Amino acid sequence: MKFNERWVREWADPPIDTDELVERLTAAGLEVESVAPVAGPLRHVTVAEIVRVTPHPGADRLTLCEVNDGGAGTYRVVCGAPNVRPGMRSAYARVGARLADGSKIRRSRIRGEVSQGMLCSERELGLGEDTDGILELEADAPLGMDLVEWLDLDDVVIEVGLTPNRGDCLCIAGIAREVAVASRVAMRPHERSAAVAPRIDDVLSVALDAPRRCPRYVGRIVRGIDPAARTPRWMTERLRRCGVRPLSPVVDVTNYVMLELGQPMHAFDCARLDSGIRVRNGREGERLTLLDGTVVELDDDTLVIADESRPVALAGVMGGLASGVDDATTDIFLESAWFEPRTVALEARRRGMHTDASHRFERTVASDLQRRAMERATGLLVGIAGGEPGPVVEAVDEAHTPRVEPVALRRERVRRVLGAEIPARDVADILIRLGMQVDETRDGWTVTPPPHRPDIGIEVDLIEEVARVVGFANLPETLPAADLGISPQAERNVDPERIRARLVDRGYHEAVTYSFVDAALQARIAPALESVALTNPIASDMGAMRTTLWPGLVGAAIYNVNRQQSRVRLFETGLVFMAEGDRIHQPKMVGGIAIGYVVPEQWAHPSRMVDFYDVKGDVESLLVLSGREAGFIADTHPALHPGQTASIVCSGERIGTLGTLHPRLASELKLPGAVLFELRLDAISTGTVPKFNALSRFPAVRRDLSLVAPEAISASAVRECIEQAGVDVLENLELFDVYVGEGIDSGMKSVSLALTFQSRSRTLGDTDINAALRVILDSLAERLGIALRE
Amino acid sequence: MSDRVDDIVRDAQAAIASAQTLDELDEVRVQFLGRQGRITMESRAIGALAAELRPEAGRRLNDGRQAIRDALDARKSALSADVLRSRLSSERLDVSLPGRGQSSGGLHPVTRTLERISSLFRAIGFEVVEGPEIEDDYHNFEALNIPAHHPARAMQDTFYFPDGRLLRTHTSPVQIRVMQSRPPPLRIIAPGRVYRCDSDQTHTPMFHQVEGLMVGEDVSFAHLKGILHEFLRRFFEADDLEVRFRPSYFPFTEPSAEIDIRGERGWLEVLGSGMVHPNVLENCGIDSERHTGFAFGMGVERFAMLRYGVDDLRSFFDNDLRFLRQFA
Repeated sequence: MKFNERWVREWADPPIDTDELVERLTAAGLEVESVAPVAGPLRHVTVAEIVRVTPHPGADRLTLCEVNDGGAGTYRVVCGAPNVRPGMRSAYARVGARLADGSKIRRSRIRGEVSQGMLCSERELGLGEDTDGILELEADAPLGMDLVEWLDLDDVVIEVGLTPNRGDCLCIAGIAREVAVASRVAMRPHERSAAVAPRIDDVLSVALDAPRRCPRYVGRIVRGIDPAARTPRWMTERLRRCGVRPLSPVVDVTNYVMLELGQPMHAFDCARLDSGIRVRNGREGERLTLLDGTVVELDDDTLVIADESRPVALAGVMGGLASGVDDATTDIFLESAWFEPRTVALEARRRGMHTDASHRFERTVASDLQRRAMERATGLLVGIAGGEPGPVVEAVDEAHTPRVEPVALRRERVRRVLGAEIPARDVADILIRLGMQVDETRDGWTVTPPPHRPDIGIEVDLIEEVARVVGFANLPETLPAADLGISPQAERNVDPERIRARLVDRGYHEAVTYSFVDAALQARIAPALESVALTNPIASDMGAMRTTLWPGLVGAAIYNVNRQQSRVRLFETGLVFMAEGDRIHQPKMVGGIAIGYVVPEQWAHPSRMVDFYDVKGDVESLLVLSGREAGFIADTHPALHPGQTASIVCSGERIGTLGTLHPRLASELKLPGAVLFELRLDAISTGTVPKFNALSRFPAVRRDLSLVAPEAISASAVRECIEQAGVDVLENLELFDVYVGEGIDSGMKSVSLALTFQSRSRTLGDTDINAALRVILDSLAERLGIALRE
Repeated sequence: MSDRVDDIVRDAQAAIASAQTLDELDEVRVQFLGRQGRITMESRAIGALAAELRPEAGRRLNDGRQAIRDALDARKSALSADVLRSRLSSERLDVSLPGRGQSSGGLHPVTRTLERISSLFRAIGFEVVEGPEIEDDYHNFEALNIPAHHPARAMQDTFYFPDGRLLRTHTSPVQIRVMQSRPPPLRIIAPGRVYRCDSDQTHTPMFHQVEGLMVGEDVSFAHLKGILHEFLRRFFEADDLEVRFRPSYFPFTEPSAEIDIRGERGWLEVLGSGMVHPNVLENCGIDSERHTGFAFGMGVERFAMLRYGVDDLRSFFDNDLRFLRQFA
């Protein structure tokens, strides 16, 4: 809501300056978003008369004007405006004056002629956008008077961000009420809504066919208004300062009343209405062309204003084009009604329309305002454009008119919610100042809010009002006392912090990528997972919810590679989203990508590119945190190299994937050699609490074995075979070399193992070790066809 | 004989002095003390002497041998020191060359901020809880006292799915899920991603919030002020931080307060908060006569921007390594 300070002060005028006023509004919950002077730095611009106009000898479009500003002599000004004429009064900026944009007027020479200043357009004065000609002032504007004074430009425009519960502040009267309460001044008395006596008998009948949605409709005919009348400057200036464009007296008056009192109004051209008014539901098949040219198809969800033959307005949203007023209109029918907020809200949303009227009706207009607004509008209109008003017609359905219900407020509850002792008489005083009717009860008060506060319905609404007016700054601040219980902390849980820290320590930077990704990229990376698509994505390449962290990480890697980063290691934690029938599965994942050198380029040894096993080491370092056993099983994945992909399996369950980006995809995305991983976070977030095993006091013996194995046999198969051979003194097993090439038959590989033997009860001798080795070698030979290397 | 011993000792001393390496020195040792060495040969000659001369000759020979040994030892330790010295000097490193191994990465500034916020609240007994990001209308709106026609829905541009589900527009639905699943007293915070269909200089379609909730039998607005003021002072490490509580409106709290802090260029909004609306408590099966509570929500990016001086919201989601490295 944008308003000018002077208008508000006409209603409530506390003895405080603008800064203080603004601060109090914000403290009362009307957050001031901006404060701007109306005239900017305008200075030394005065009302002047153009005495004589002669052609400029050197330019067709320019004239030489003699200008008098009330002093003894005249000034000579070169002017290019088409509307300049002798006898006209306008705004004269003399040498040394400042315009609205801050520029300074200097004595100048234009096409050889001296110009002692300038005649100004609306735009140059900061009064509007009009640059077609110079500002035309009233004939009685006093010569020599500072324009700032004549046009009340010493004013500021204040914009407040109103919360949706405060529809009552969408008008000058409402803002003034808040100012009055916050500054403890009375509202200034005014005669603005005095009844205007009818001078003709003409009426239009009004029927309320949908009384729940419109229980009150006030209408009035005004005949014989002067179509040539112009809205006075004081009114257009106020409209303009409140952000409304002046149009014509009829429209300006309805807007003015809306701004002043908060009641949206509409004017129909009486001649274009077919007898009586009917407020009814729309009918299937009906159409209505609105003032802005939009054609809407109607049905019974829509509330319309209709005459006897057709709909003429979308109730509370916008009038129809066919029944609207124009330059030739002389007879009008004015509407001032109460529409149910929900009806207007749903209609406006459905049509994608948002108007000043719908904005107010949605937020609930006071239900006692309609007749007052009608009288105010009639009075203003007749004063500006003449005309003869008919009697006010008021159709009311009492059963559906919103009623103000009294609300009980308990002293004890105020104390409990606010944690503050507010004296009872202060509470009552505040509520009374807010226009509420307050009756004392045994434990507090019964409070009846005024009709303009439909947001007050329950006790806490009143407590909020009290807190707001006391001022949040004046309420106490205490730290709660708590019982010092210790909440359970499962030791076997691995904090996500720990998991992230591990990856950071291993050289990864954390990325945060959007949860919605390009559906096409995702289909290439994870075609098997069913993704969910947004109905209203912000961009076409952000339309699919990610089913894996990889599209985002790949995108981030590309972004960095394109910016000359030769080494990229990124990880992310977050939810992924998969459709599973009617349900959406949203597990939390940790994923990563690595590309480029395995470690930063180094002076001491040649750089090597990151590969599968480097990233596998990173993944293993995460698995270690939970202490759970996990296996890597050769697998395939559409985005990954078919020979360099592993599923990560834990207790028989697949918890993640690791692999090198498929070379075809890698070359398309320009991410050669990228390695990716992704793990379900929950699977590595719970582990085990350590259990101590007593240490052996006897020496350990190490034996190395070089074996020749068929190439297809995996390292884990060799390990499993040895572990299952039943040698209980085998303490540890490490694989320290794998070799394929010269000296080894094709199809075979050499595998070197270090075996550590140790007993808990005695020192092992050569006989023990050799017996153990025999068992292991026999088992390897028998089950896997592996032999000792010759 | 004694003259010969003196000669040998003199020769030996000369040879020892001229030995330049430990190997040369060893050759000298062999030459004089070895099995064929001159001293050894001389000792064999003692047998041929008259009996009364032998003790004297033996003593002299032993003295001579000892003198040679002493000279050898002295020279050996001198030469060893030389060898060590030259080895040390040849092994000198340029200690300014960089170390080897993996570099260190870093947390995203949003996570860094989230972890800081969480740890401050954990310190006073708040538990961290999480919730789904694809939500239903009930948890994101209805249960929070925002019915379908409510104008507050227009405050938040919502991303929808064809089945009516939506991306949560705030972390507040986690409040509902917690209150529905356990009884008061409650002290929780819920960090996470939220989504609004809005994108420009100062809005990204995804951002992060931390929601907080405290419900008990005697939780008041004074406590809300106390805890949040304390939190802001601790987060920004500024005891004299200027904080302003200002009335506002959220359908799910009442009274509602926006909280501003004083920055270099005036007041900055950092937190939304309020006393949990009785309707919300009742929606979750909590007796609003017996229990009261406060809730708050904050934009994590806003906190990160203020704390680290980041000036463009959108840079958080570019994941530019040159940006990320600054928070490592």
